[in-house]
Amino acid sequence: MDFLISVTHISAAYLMGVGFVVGVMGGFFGVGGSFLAGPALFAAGMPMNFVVGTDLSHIVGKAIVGAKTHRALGNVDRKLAMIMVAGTIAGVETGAQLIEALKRRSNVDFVVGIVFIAVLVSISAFMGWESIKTMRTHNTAGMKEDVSAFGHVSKMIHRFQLRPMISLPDSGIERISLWAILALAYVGGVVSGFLGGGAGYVRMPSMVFLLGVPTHVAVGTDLFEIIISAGYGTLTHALKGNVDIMVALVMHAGSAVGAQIGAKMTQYFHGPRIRLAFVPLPLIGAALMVYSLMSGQHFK
Amino acid sequence: MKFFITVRGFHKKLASFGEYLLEILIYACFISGYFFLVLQFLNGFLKPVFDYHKTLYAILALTLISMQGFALERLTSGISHVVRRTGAFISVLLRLFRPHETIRKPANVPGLLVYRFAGPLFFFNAGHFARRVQELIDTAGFPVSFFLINAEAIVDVDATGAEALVDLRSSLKEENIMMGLCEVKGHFREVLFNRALLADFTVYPSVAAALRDLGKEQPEEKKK
Repeated sequence: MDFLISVTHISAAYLMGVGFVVGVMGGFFGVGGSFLAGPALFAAGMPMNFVVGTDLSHIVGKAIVGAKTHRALGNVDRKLAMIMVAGTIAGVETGAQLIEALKRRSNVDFVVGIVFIAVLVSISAFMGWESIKTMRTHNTAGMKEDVSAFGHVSKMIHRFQLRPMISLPDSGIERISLWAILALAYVGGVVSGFLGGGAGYVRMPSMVFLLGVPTHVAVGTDLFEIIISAGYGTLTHALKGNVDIMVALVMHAGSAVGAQIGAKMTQYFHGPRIRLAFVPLPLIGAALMVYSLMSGQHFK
Repeated sequence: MKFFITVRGFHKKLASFGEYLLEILIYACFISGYFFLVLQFLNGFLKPVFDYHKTLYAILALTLISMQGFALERLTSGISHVVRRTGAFISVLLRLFRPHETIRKPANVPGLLVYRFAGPLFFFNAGHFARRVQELIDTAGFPVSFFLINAEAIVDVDATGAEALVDLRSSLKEENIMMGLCEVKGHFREVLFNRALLADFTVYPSVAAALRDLGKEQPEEKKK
């Protein structure tokens, strides 16, 4: 199928397939899946600036479906989400401006690709280390509740006294500095605006491990927040000519089906094992990116 | 006990997974239809908007992906609702076609087969009922001399069901097998009584009464 906006020729079945896999990942791991979708779009021959904007817009549709479900389950901390939106939008704008600067220097593909690989490998390494440590420390067999070996870090951040201090009752947090939330959201926003997608692979672990938000509330709040921040990202990238909405619509059609299956799969696994199963996925994305950068070849 | 609970749980999960697969299949068909009909037309329309009206394109892009998100969410809930309702309806229909059954072969009354049919006997399942009785007799593993139908759960019977009972009694008689009924009550009893069919059968108030009565009739050496 010819996509006239980004001037690329990608098989619709390939896009729906990528969307489907990303959807399963999203439903199962609670992340947007841009660590796979981004490299997959790039590998199919789409220019990197379009990869970033298009992936971001595809995330909006997916987040709407997910957030509505989580809101019905009471898993959305709206106060936390609205605070994070402010930090994320500022971060997304910074990320989009960085892309613009790289576009002017004509080395956007290379720089974004290298940063993408570094982020993906780091996340994979961290998740692997954390889940193995958690399973060694706690006997997780048959355990339903979500435990983490990283709990002491969130307690340290809660003790950080920089006014104004706020409370987040829906997340079970009594006192936390507003600046800690904004800083975290800003970093997530920069990653989102620079690498595309909702940056759930950065923000989700940060909310759980750094802010100490319960995992199910973090997933729901993240999705709710993504609707607004990725929506803003879609607008700003579309204005800069970085969004092929046709590709996003086709991918979203596949991911909506995959998300249903992924969500069903979570019934059969518990927290640390899900996080351990997540480890190879960013590495696959990184491998795809390395292949595309080194060979200069794209497959359609 | 734990094993049976696990097996029951597994069957429940399997059934819900089947329902779920059906849901996904319908959903995928809708998506494919949507894709081929709508997206093909959009491609040509959006290109000039992208080239000459970036602001309009940005608003359209956000609107389109948001609308698709909302539409798919509504579609998912709708299909899930329809599949659940249809699944319940089909399971009720299946229960009517093939009601639960229990078979007993009391050791103290040789040659007796007790068959409990848990559903109304009517034109949907009368043929199945007759076939099942014949199958049970053929596969009993001993020569059946008395076939007792425990009718406590046969809450209703229609003309076809009543005819099936009479035909069955006649065909079993030809094979020298007696047919009896027990726990005949409610509308089932009324229909048999009004059609003057009740007198054609040996009727017992309960299974226990039937066992007592039939046990007495057995010669001592046959009981052993």
